[in-house]
Amino acid sequence: MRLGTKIGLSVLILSGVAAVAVVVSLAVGTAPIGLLEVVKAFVSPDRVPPEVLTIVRSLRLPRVLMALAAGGALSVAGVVFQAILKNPLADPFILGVSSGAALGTVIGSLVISVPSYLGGALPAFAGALVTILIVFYVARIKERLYPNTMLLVGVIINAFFSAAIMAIVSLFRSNGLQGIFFWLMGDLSLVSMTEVAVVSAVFLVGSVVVFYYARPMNLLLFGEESAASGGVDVERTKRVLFVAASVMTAAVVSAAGVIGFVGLIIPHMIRMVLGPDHRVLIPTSILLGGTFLLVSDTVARTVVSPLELPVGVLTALLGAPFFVYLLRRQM
Amino acid sequence: MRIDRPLIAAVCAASMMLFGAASAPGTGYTLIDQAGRSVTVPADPARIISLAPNITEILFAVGAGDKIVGVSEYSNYPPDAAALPMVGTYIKPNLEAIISLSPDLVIGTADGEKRAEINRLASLGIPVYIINPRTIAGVISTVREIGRLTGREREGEATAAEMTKRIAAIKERLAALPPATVLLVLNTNPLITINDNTFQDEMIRTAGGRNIAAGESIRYPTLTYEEVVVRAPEVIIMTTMSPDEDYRSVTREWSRFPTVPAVKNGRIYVIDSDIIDRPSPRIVAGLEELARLLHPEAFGKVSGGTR
Repeated sequence: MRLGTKIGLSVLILSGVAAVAVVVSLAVGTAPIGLLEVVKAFVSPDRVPPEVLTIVRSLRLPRVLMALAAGGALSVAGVVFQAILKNPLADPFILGVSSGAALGTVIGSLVISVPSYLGGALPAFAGALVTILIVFYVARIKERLYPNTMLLVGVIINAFFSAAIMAIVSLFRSNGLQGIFFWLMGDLSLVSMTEVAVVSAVFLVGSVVVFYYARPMNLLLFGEESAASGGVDVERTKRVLFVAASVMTAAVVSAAGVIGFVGLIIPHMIRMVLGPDHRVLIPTSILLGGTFLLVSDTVARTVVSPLELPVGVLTALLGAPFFVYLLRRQM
Repeated sequence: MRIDRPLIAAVCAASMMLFGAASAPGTGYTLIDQAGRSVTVPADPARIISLAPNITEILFAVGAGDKIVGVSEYSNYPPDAAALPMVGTYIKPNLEAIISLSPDLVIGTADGEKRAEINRLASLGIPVYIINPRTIAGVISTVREIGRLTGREREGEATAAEMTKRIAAIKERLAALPPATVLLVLNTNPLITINDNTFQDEMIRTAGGRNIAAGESIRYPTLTYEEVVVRAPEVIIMTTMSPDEDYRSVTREWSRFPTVPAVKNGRIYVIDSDIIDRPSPRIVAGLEELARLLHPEAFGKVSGGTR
């Protein structure tokens, strides 16, 4: 199959699946609202009760859009980290961005009590950015980023920040902490349209940048030396990709918490089915990742309604068995 | 002059949309809630949602139970409350469930990590009134406040007066007695207790006790068992979420420290945490129970305990 056809066909099919998931997700939830009412909430909003309007347009719609953007961003970040770290276990949080964001949130809410109008997103984003800077400067030796050093720095930062979080939590024991633990497992229940707009913008810009580097990433698969001999500015590529993927991850974590598993398994799933070419891998991972997170979040908010499961629980529960199935089939 | 009726209707409809339900004639007023927020509440709310078990109890106590359309999880008292639709947990209210019940008033508490949820509800046009009782006096005034808020002012006053009277009676009986030293156990492993900056500490003081961890700097400090042996409480009270928790095995743990007066004298008790740490009218029952456990000499024989 020609490359263009392969991209076009897989993007078309995955977009169709995503569209179905969006409609279903808008139509199900704690409140029983028929599909017809949901459609009317968009096409003729003055003909549905105000509660329906609020639920569909102010609660469900931002969640659906955020799931698509966050799932897409995490997946493309996973693709990047697996490529530049040359490690199949890499995921968007492997360099410590999530624990940096968590530490930012814990400090923001327990130690310095950030005023509520700033929301929880800012301290989380600040924490994530600080972590990225630390990794970047520690792992950069003589103008070069060494993948193994980056991995080690990430592991150390994760350990250190987790310990710092536990220390603060022990000193400031309060009953507000359950909220933080919910957040640590990922939570899309409160996202607003503003957050959706910010995350989507970061995600779109980041994805375009990453896609622009699809060919150099393909060459990196054969090692840094051969990529360099193929005309790739290896250090520049790694630097740009690292920043793009990290900032996307930071944006997602600050708005939606730490949603595990998506960024790890989606790129692998696509590779197993469609192969390792990044020109295919990047757009299809974005679509599949967005759909997967949307389905997980929909299940998370309906399966034990009116209670809710953390979405990270669902991504692992749904994703792991399917991943193992693909892994076995491939052997 | 010919009046264009469709035009007037359109203008009315447009202004209704602009100003929303709040401007409907004479149905609402604005006040400051206990979190310092300005809230416009309806004059006679008919569809109330309670976001915490103690709010549910207060609403029933002031006779507004029939106006409740939804409650948080663990709203287990009075028994009627358990039959109401649940709108999520105390920690995490479910916004969709709340909105689908079309409430005209939501009452929540200031603690828990619900600030984001509450701001969201308010921004969607649902009045959310926050209560924040931190003291026994605060609970009593909150009962009055919720009475006024729900058009049950007289019942609120009566409940508050009854609470005040029963507390005064407890204090009177305890007046001449020295306080008993007490360790309140919230969690056994690790051993978590309270300092004096908590509601439970005031409960203990009012019931004639002196908290051995009052001076700790953290509200819910973790104590070592060694420290308990040193501070030697006369009474140990364990709060429990579920009465069928394995009480025997927990008290057996304490038998390793026979020098502690509470262990030596068999004065280890279990108390239902709902009546001592839930700021509701039932704290009076909690105070009576605590006073009986701490000062059996003034309140008669105690049933239960380790001996």
